[in-house]
Amino acid sequence: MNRIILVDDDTISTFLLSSLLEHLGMGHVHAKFINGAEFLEWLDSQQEDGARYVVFLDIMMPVMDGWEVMERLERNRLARRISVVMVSSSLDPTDRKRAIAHGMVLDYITKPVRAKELERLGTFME
Amino acid sequence: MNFDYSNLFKWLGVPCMIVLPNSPEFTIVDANETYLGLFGLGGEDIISKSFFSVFPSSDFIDEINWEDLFDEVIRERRIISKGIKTWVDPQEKRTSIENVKYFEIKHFPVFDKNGEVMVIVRSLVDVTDYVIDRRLLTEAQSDVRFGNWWINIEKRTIKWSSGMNDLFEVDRDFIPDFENVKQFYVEAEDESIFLEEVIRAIKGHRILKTFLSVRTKSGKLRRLKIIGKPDHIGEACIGIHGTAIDITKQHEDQNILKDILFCHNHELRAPLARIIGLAEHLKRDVRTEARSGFLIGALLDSANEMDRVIRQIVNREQYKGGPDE
Repeated sequence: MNRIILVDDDTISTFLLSSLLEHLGMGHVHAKFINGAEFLEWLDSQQEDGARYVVFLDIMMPVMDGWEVMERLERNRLARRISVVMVSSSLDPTDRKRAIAHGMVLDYITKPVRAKELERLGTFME
Repeated sequence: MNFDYSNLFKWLGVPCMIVLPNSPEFTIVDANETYLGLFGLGGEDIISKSFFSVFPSSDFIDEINWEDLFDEVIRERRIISKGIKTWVDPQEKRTSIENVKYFEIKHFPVFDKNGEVMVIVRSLVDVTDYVIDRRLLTEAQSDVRFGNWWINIEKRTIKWSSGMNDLFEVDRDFIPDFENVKQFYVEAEDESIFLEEVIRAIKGHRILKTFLSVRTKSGKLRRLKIIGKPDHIGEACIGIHGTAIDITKQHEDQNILKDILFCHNHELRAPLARIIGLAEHLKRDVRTEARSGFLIGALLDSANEMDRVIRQIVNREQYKGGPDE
């Protein structure tokens, strides 16, 4: 079972993404966080129950940005169960390369997130 | 060969009128269709009438001494050029760029067998395009460095104007050739790339249009727009001539603009992404009025945010110092 997590300080973006996921029948959002620090704190409190996490992670966030979250996620005890989709408004091509370099990253999507990009994630969302 | 010259005159594309030299009336003998059309007149309106009764004042806004119009051709007994005059279409109620034309006016005396002036032919040659092009070129030249050049392919020689000396910051006595111009290329391969473009233009019988970065004698980097036209005699190309225009400033401005957009792309795209996402959501799933109100409110907020960001960027860049400050 996949737990969909949204980490983004932009509440409109999280509303749109969760609405799109539901519309495509890809499931309900399990939890939302407005910065990386809150997300990691929550993750540390989760039990090892066999669940898989699909994290839609924004890059530009206050307190802790997406890059720092990735550095810490790789050392997390649940790392094997986490897949990340990095999301950003920026068109900087180096961001995509940097994102894909992380083994946990499934994809890098430029906002606004579109249906065909989510559909491309395919079986990971099942 | 019998040829109907009167019909030729009637349908000639250049506006022409024939008047008698009977000062002060200058009776109109004939005018062709083009002349009549210019003023919205019929032949019956003007033939056999005094020129100055039909045209009591000039339709050319920079005409002076209208009443002395034909005096010089009678006195001098030769072709008189009255110069280029600005004409505003009398049939139009308002003056706009479309109904202003420029005509070069000439008066031709036609002599009888006794050497007396028999009639005067007044012609108006439309030079509107020439005047506008000249004006544009003059305006461009006043702000831009440029020079003309000519390459003789056969003799492998180069000639260029003093403007090119200025562009490359060399003395007026500098005489270019294929060897000494190599110093101006920035990279070694620039010469071969440029010459390939020249050869392609020559072989294709087409205009050369390319850009070239050069280094002047004092070491300044300049960006040039090169336009050239091959000179052919039959199939043989004897050379290529053209213009080099300094577009360094425009090139720098473009790069600055690219940098600005790159640096600020996230700030700009964040609200834009929300706008697009909200619009797509509305398209897909319009529910209750209350929910639509929330979505439309969010759309408006995002649009305003984007507008604010753009204004901030413009204000920031407008007051930034340039390299000379």
